[in-house]
Amino acid sequence: MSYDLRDLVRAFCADTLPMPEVRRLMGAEPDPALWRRFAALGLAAITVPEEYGGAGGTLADAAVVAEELGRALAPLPHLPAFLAASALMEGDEEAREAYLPGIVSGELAAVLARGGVRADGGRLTGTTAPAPDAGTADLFLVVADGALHVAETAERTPLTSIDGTRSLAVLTFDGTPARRVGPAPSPAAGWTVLAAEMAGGARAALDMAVAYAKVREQFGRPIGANQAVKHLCAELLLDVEAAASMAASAAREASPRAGAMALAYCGDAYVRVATECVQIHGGIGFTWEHDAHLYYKRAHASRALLGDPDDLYASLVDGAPQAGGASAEGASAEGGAVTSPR
Amino acid sequence: MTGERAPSGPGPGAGPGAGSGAGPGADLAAFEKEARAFLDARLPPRPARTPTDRVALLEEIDPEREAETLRAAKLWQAALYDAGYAELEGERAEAFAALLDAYDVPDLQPLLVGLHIVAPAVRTHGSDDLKRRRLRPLLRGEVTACQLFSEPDAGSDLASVRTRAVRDGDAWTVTGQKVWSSGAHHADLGEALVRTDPDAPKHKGLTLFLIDMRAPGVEVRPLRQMTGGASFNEVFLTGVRVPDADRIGPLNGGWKAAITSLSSERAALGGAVDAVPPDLVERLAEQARRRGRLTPATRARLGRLDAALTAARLVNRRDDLDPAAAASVSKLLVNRAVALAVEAASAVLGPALAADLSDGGYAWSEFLLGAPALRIAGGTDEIQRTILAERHLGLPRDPR
Repeated sequence: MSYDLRDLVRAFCADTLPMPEVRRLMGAEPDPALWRRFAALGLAAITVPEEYGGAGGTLADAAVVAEELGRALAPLPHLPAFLAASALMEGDEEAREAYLPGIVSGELAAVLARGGVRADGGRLTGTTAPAPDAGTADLFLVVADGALHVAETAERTPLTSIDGTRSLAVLTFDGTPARRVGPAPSPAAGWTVLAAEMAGGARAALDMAVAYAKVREQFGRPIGANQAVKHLCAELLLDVEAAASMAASAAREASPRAGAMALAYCGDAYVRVATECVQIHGGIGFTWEHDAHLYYKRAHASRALLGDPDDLYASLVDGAPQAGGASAEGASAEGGAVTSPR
Repeated sequence: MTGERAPSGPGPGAGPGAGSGAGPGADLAAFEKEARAFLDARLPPRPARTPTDRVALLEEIDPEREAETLRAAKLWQAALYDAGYAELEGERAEAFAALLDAYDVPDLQPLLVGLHIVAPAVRTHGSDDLKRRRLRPLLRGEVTACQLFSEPDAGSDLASVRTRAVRDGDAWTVTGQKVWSSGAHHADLGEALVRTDPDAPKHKGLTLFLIDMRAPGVEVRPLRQMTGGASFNEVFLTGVRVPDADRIGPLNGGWKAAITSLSSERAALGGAVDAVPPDLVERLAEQARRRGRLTPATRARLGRLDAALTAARLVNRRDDLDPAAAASVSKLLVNRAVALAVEAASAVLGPALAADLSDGGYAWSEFLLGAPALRIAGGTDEIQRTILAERHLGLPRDPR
């Protein structure tokens, strides 16, 4: 399935979201009509089982979709849809039946938010960590006090972000009624999908840098003829291929440990490639009209989105003198902190 | 190994477990069962690791025990070859490697040049006669081999070698100086890149030969390395007579044949991630724990190292990359990981890395001292970057 799937997503992006269109949509909330067109292809939250209207895909399929969307800088709310659907799939049957079909069809804008919220007597109170595309959401899944809750209202506060291709908002609850629908979901699937998205973005930034190094001439020859530039491109190729391998492996393994490792690795790789992509372009790379900065901004914003690389890396190594006493699998990421994903 | 496989390869058939079982999974399970029985019958279990175990990147053989190591390697390789385990590929290779971890396996280091560098060139470019005479003994580990490629004035610019071969009837007379020849002091055969046409452009006047290292005129002098060990050598060739029948590939076609060896070497060195101790991160974490230094910063550092090693392993297994590119990418990723490991060891061990405080830390100094070799051997990291930039990314070529 995966190669056809890759072609399908790539073709959608090429037809629907060429870079001028991405730029036109930048800085706004996701376009609902565009999202429904994407969802109509069966690509939204692709891992949702068929009984809930989904495509019944694997995590590897979800990673392929994300990688291609990342490559195109697609300003689509694929990440919140996937995060919300994945969380619901660990939840109770009633909630799955109520919400998954709407998420899959693109009709229901659901988001998953973590951190900063307390659940007490069926009510939520507090402000979440920044959540992608939460500014126009109409269903709010919140991880609080070790469980997953659903609220139908929230105060949505859109955030100003360096990255115009993905909107961010925080959600505030003030004694808001909410229903507990399941345990705190494992962050692994979301980590893996964002890792794949970043691996795709890194590859696009490398392609852009290499293409420019071949045509930009100084001192009578392409700048890519200089070892300082060509060796840098080779180093970036290492980042790109390693990131792709890490994301694909995490998607196959579907474990919190592999997901944490891939997210940290791909975040660092994307930032590095996007940074050097600007550098290889020189002055033109620092202009608004050139696309290099879009990847630079997306890379930094994405790396910071679901967990800091140092925290994720530290979580891979048992810290306590006696191993085994660490927190249970996946019980993590509340308040943004990452604990042992073993 | 990613060796080129001739259809008429001398290995015994499809190997153990082939054709048995219902599906691929059952097939692999049957293979593993047979392999485990094979190993159980021949090898003792691996002794438990201790903190003072060696942590080496370069397998330097203790000279006192070299003859013994060589004998054990030859016996073990023959057993692997005869049972069909010598040239496994894909998931069987991985499964077999995983099984080996439980056993005290003889060190094959003295045979690796012959197995992974010389044999692929003989197999790909040698005449039928040469393959018939030389290939099986190489693959079965009956003979050991070394490379005679680099020269004092031909390092990264290998095609500028000046060692001359002059025709003399059905043989050649070879004279020149080679360097960095690992294992030349115990090798039976040398794979020599020599100039047979000094008037042709530099890549076009080269021929590859197998040289009998016991022939008159071959002199091997050990070179002491920065580790203190001496596993590589200078080799002086003075009027050495080499039969034309021991030529690998066509006359003046040596560059192409040599590239086969170099590519195989890169693949083998990319596989050097497997030479990095598999429990490297756990061992460093244990050292840090014992020293009360397993801080969040150290854990982050070790996690980063773990990821770097994982990346190198994963890229080495990719089947959607051009094998030559994968080999260069993997080699460079191994060296990134090794650099992180050196820094992590330094952070964890402090002065115990540089001076023997009798606390188990000094074992890591061997790792530290071996690390620079990996960035130089098998084509320097800079040459690997040039290869990737030009052949894989299509950037302009360097002057040659």
